[in-house]
Amino acid sequence: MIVGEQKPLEEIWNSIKDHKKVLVFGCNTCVAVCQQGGNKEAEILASMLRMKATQEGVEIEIKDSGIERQCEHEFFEKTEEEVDWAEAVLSTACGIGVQFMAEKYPKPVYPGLNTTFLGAVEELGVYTERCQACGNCGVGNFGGICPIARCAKRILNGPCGGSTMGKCEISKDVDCAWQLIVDRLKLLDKLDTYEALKPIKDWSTDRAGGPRKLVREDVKDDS
Amino acid sequence: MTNKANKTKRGSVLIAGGGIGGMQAALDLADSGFKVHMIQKDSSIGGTMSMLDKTFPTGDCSMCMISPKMVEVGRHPNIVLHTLAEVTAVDGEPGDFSVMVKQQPRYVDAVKCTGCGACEKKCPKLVVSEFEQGLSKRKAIYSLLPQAVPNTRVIDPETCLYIQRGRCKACIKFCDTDAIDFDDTEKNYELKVGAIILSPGLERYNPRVRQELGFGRWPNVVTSIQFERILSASGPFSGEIKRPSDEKHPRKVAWIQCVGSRDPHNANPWCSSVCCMYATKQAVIAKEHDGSIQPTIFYMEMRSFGKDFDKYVDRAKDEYGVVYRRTMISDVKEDAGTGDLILRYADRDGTLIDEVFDMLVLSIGFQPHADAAEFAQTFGIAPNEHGFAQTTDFGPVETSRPGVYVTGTFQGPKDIPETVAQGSAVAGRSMALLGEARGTEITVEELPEEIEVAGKEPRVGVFVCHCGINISQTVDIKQVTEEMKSVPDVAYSDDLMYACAPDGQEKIKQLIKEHDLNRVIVASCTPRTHAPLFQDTIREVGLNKYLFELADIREQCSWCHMGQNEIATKKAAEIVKMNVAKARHLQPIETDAVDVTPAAMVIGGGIAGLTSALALGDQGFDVHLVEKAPQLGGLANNVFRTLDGSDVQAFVQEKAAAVEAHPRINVHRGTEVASTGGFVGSFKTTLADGAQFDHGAIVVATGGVEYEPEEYGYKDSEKIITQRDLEKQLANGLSPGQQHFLMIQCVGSREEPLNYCSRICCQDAIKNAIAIKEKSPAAQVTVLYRDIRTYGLREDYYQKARDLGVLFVRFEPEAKPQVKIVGDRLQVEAFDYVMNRDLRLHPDVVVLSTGLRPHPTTEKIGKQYKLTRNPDGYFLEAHVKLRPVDFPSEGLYVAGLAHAPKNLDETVSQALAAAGRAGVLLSHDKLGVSGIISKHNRDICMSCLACLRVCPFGSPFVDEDGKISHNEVICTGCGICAGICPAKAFQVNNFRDEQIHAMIDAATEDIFEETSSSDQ
Amino acid sequence: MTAQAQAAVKEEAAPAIEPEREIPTGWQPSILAFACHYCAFAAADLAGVMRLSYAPNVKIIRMPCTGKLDHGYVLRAFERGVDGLFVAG
Repeated sequence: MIVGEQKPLEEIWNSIKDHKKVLVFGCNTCVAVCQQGGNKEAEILASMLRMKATQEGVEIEIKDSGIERQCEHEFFEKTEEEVDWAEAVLSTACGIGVQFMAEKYPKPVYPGLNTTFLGAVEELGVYTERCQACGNCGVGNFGGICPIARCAKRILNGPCGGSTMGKCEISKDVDCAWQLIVDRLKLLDKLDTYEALKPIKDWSTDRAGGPRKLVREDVKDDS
Repeated sequence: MTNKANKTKRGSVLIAGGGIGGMQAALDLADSGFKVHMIQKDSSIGGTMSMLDKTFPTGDCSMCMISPKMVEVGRHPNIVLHTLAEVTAVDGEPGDFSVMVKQQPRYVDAVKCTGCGACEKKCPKLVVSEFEQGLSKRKAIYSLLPQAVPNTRVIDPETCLYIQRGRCKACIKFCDTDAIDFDDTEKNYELKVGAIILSPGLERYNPRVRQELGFGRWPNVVTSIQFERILSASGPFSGEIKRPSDEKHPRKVAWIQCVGSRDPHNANPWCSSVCCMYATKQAVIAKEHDGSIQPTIFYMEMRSFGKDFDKYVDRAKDEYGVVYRRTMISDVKEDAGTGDLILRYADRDGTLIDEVFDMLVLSIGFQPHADAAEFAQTFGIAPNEHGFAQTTDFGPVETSRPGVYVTGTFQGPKDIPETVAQGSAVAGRSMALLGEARGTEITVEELPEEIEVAGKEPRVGVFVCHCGINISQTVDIKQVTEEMKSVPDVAYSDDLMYACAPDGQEKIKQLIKEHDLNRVIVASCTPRTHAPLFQDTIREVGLNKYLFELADIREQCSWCHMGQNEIATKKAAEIVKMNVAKARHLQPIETDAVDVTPAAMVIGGGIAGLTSALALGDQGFDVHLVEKAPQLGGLANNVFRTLDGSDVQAFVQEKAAAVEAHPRINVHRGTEVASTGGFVGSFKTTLADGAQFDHGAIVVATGGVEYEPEEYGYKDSEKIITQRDLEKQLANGLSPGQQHFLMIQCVGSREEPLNYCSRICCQDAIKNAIAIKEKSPAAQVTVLYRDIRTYGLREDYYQKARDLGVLFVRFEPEAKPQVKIVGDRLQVEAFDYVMNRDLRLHPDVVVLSTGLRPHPTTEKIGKQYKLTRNPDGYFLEAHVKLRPVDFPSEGLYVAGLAHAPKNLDETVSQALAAAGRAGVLLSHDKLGVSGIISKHNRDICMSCLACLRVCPFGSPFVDEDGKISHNEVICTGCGICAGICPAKAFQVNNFRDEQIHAMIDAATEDIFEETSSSDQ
Repeated sequence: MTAQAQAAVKEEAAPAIEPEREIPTGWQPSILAFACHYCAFAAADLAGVMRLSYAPNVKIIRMPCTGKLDHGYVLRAFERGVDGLFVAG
């Protein structure tokens, strides 16, 4: 799931304050699950911004709306009118939604969130990073724990010398990914895979190859 | 139970006493189809609990807990309240008793009285208030307490000027409904019932007897119940802590424990069980009210033996700075002029100290009512030597007369949860006795079909109530009524003198029909007590009862803004408008019902499980008893005698045989639960041995285990044994001869990492000590202890042990006894605080009093059924005070050691209670789902699981298709899910977002217009 | 991530608040209370039963539990000009 984090109100305010009609636009999938950018959060943010406007003495109309996902065309159909009304849009989707929306409409679309990472919901309100979308998954070799996403140094033959009592040297609150990997492999009785030296990773599938694209020829509608 | 016998059994029960125990029994019985007659001596139900401010160990507000129960009892269609009444004679046999009742005149007609209280206000006679313990005054016509049920005033004939002197009648003059009736007379009548429950409650020790403590002489010496009233927000000082003499805020406050308890010479020999805890609570709450208070508690022994009690005392010490001094107060003097009190006590080293306090609280104990002997005689039951009802460890709620059961403090001193548990236990016993007579004496009302409202424009009817002068003297009723006429969607607006009076309700019904109203608002008193009444009223003319709102303009307007008529009128109008705004969005609510499988599964075949299974089987339900071990009996298989000498082995064998032979009980031995699916009313369980069955309820009685000691050289010598070993040896004919037995208490208890009292070990030690001394007076027994916790009537045995010459030597955890093996001799070193010197003893046997631990399966069962456990690993009940055997998840109940350490009689009580509670559930063919529940819109839900994670009741769940569904049967309508849901997929009926938004908008109508206009 | 997020919150400059204005004499704040049906609403009733007098500028909205409180209610109330909210349960 994509995890996002709402930007500071001041930053959001500065981005929209010069417009007269602003639509706060929620995205009700990933960022709703982490309670940062769903339609409810959009409603809350709109309310806060209206109060901000009152406090600043700025005349600005702020409404809220939202759709299921801001990264697909068809969902936008039912909110065309509201988007048309607005002079600018504050999208609380992840970076994907913000860009997708910006591409669709000839008006400013500002991000309300910082898209932070791809993560899991450990418990209500706690989200942790699991994946960096490197495009070449190797977690199978690491007992199911990704050193790219979870080791601060992304090393493939760890741990480094900074691993202390199972924690990473960057913070005692961060687990050493390699400790986790070793523990897992021990549990799976596969410590021999740990012994094997991992070759240098081919990063061409990652961002190094420029923006990525995937086409499923069999599903794609060519008509 | 043959069919023939059933025909003669009655489906009704008489409950003598309307305190919390009686109320619990009444609700359990009435909810499961029995007619209940509740006899209460006072003018209101509520009992002792309604006098308390807060309760230990959670600090919950007592009135907040009991008041809804009182309202429920007062309104229950199957409960008849007989207040100011007493039973004078009982005749008949179990299943068919004839009871004579004498009812004192109330002088106020409950049918006509609306409870407005105008009479009380105008009554000129002030008398001392008994309820406020003499700390304030009441009128001659009065309510026992502000939240009295029934809410009908009563005239005290002893002080009424008209009754005494023939003049006044102010109440008659000011009563608009003509409810005062001076011709009212004593009534005597007969009731026919199938079973009788005694719950008369307690009386408190009169501390005037102990003159040296100065009660009655020095005004700043108060009793603990007076202090409870002082703490109470509705008490004489509105919750501000003041001392009586000069209403100054006291700084140093002292509590003296055991006043009237544990004192066979000046008072009662027994321990009152609750004073250590309530004094701690009072000290903590006092400190919370006023941080500058410095509390000191003078005590003999800290008997914080209950679940999480020791932790509470530790918190009082460490976090609140409550000082505990283990010493007796020999003298209390008043400091002339200041009203302060000088307490004299001996310090640890024997030095006499005079310490000055601003106020002194006497922790007075419990005793049976003064007329307890007569009461017992009336009901034909045997009292014990102290005047409590005679019961046994195996039958803690059975009196000597079959069909007559006892609950609460009349059975022995106990706290609220134990009283409540016994309330459910006696309900369960009555259900078992009366079996299929269930449902024979209750009436079910026929209602007209509901009018279709959906899709119709709202036509709101507003009825503004004068409540005599209660509202109208402050709020201009006509003006409010007029103003509502111009509010959009209000089709009709009118005023009524008393909306709740029978004529008021008739008028509402008639006007609903006449004006085709489809939403109704009554503006009068609080919805908490009166909404159900009006909901029934509108339902009688075919309107769904959720199309009603009650605007509270009395409690929350006229009564708190007296003398500010203009402003109160404006506010009243706004309150009504808020409710109109909400009413526009009200929708009829259909309530569902689900089937109930009339069978229970009991997990655990120890005493708790056996008792629950038998009680449920006797009630006529199928029972599946699952026991992991090949043998039934659990821990009790190692116990031979109870403290009162009863034969435990015989009892276990008898119970086990009865369970095996019971036609309705299916015993699954040597297996455990593999999985349980479904929910309350319809569970389906598969056992590890493959057996499968359906059931509607689950009783978790997984028990506990004994701690196996590592300390005190237990593993090093055969002469170092446990109490259980000793008990077995004694049962097998051990002759103590002249040997010296040294017992060490609190082994594996009251210390980190498991810092709780195991509750049974003091009793065990004393039981075995007595057995040794009785067998062989020449034998020597020494008990090394921290606090002897022989609470309640168990204190008799502590006394007996001391009389037999058992020596008790106290130790502190910082200086624990040292057990050494010197050659082939045992040597024990300890410090004697009485003689102030070291002791070296050479016992022949060292006996370790080992504590209890939760059974290892507790963790697994907890995970399986999502039941939470306390830090010590015992299951947490739904509510520490009022739901002691329920789990928060509906349909699951707990009994025995799985809940916390307890003695055998307490396990039996609790097991019967669990069976009683389960019986209430299983007695229904269908389980009605409440109207006020959260509704889940699956179409917009994205299964983010936030609801599942926050719901305390487990009603949202991951369904078979892998997405969230909502089980409305166990939803309580709290709306936490609705608050957290990012998709707004949850809405609580009658508290929907659009309804609350409408109320917010209406409440801010005036200011919003103002701010918007000022901005422009 | 949590630790970082917390740090971020701490570092964030305190949002600019409305400059203090002089309170006109006789001004009364407008207060809205959200009260739990079972406790705080009952307490408000008890205040009435005991005839405790308090300022009339507070209106109560009954909730089934304060857990039902929604961010939206709070913000809506403030937006509509209430000066204080009292959530009790």
